[in-house]
Amino acid sequence: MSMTSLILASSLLIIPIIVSYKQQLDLTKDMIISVLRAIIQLLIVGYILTFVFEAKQPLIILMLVFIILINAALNTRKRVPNVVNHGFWISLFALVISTSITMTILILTGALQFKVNEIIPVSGMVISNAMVAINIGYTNLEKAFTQQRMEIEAKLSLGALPHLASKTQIQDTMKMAVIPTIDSAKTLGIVALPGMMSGLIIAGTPPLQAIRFQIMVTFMLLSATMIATMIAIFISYKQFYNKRHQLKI
Amino acid sequence: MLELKNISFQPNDAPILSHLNLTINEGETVSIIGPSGSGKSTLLRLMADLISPTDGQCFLNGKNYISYKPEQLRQTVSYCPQTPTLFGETIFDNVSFPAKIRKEKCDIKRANYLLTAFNLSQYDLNTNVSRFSGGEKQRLAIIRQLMYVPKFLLLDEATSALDQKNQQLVEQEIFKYHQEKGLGIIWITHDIKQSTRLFSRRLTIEQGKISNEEVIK
Ligand SMILES: Nc1ncnc2c1ncn2[C@@H]1O[C@H](COP(=O)(O)OP(=O)(O)OP(=O)(O)O)[C@@H](O)[C@H]1O
Ligand SMILES: [Mg+2]
Repeated sequence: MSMTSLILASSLLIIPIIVSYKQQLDLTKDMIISVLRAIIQLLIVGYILTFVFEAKQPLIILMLVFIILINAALNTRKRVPNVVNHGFWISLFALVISTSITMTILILTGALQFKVNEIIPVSGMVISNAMVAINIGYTNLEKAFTQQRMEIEAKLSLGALPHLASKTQIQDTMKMAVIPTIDSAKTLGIVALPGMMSGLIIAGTPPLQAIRFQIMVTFMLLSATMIATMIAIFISYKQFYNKRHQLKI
Repeated sequence: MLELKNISFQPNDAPILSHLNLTINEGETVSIIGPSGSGKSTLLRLMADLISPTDGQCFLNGKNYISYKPEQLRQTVSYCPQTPTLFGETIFDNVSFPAKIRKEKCDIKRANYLLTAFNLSQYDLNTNVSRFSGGEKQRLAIIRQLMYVPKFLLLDEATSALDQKNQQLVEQEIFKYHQEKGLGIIWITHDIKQSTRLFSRRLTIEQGKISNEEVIK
């Protein structure tokens, strides 16, 4: 693909911008900023990766993963419910645990090699999916507690502990966060030929090998999003209550 | 015995309750009346420890609320909210919840007895509650609160959506526990007749203060 074709392809953005403007979705600014950010970030990363792919030391690889983790955690801050303190640290903790578990299993089973050109792209995928799941989780947790305050309070007034009083809300929130990953797994190959697999095929990898890789990715995304949302939700829901187990909102 | 000592509740600039003192003895029956927005529900929510006063203290049997576990307190002083909210899908989901809290098996016989006493015997435990009428919701919410009889039952306009006949059925059943088990009842109502019919004392709340206190019988 040439640079000119890429620039011409950017005309695709005109459609969402017009829709957003006409429907007063108020997304135009957000969209333009996010596209510009994506371009700049990818360019920088492209240069860094070219340089880093030469690197062999495990420490450098781990450091890079950690930088990705920090960035992902920073990106969840906007979605952290108002009453929840230390959102960044909760997210970082959830991301670190889910990524380490998933990546360790992949490496131990031999599905992945501890090489920079495997670890970095794959952990990037894990972390970004876990981050999106955490964000969905936060948004729905706040919504559930606000909209269903009366139900929770009715359960509290019967003498239920916070966990039981908000069990339905926690379950719904967890489901909502993981369902997108499950749904996309269902349609793999039928609707979506995922980015990585397509990339591998375009780059000349035999389809069967690319598919094996994709199946592994599906397993790892399911596990990572589930672990990450569970940790983030279970730590943060408690902060909707004070010491007397009263709702703060 | 429930005691509120110099209670104020002022979450923002304007006080909702101010310097309120109130003692309610074990097994006493008290009705509360007063204009909308005067702070009646807030008072009952305070008594159930669902909110804490910004000033002053509450006591149960001479011990400060903060020395009780919140759950233990709310099972003793049990608040039935003004807007009934049902849980889950079926009647069973609702009547079994108090047992779930206590990690016990749901007393099906008691549930069926209460359904009959509250004139809901046409339904069984598997009935879906999503289409329940306002009055049916109110009755099921009270049943839920009575699966285990507390020491004090705080009712917030609990029969506001009921006709005369059903209202009296509910009153009878609730006051039965007063006579048989010494249940204390504190009941907010806008129905002046109801407020004198069965209670021994009536409080009037106006602008966050007790403006009148009458002994009825
Ligand atoms: N947490 C809170 N923060 C701010 N204002 C509150 C809070 N809780 C209650 N209020 C306000 O306090 C006032 C009293 O509310 P409350 O529900 O106690 O009234 P009420 O006497 O039960 O009225 P009604 O008869 O209409 O049920 C209302 O104006 C309400 O908006
Ligand atoms: Mg009220």
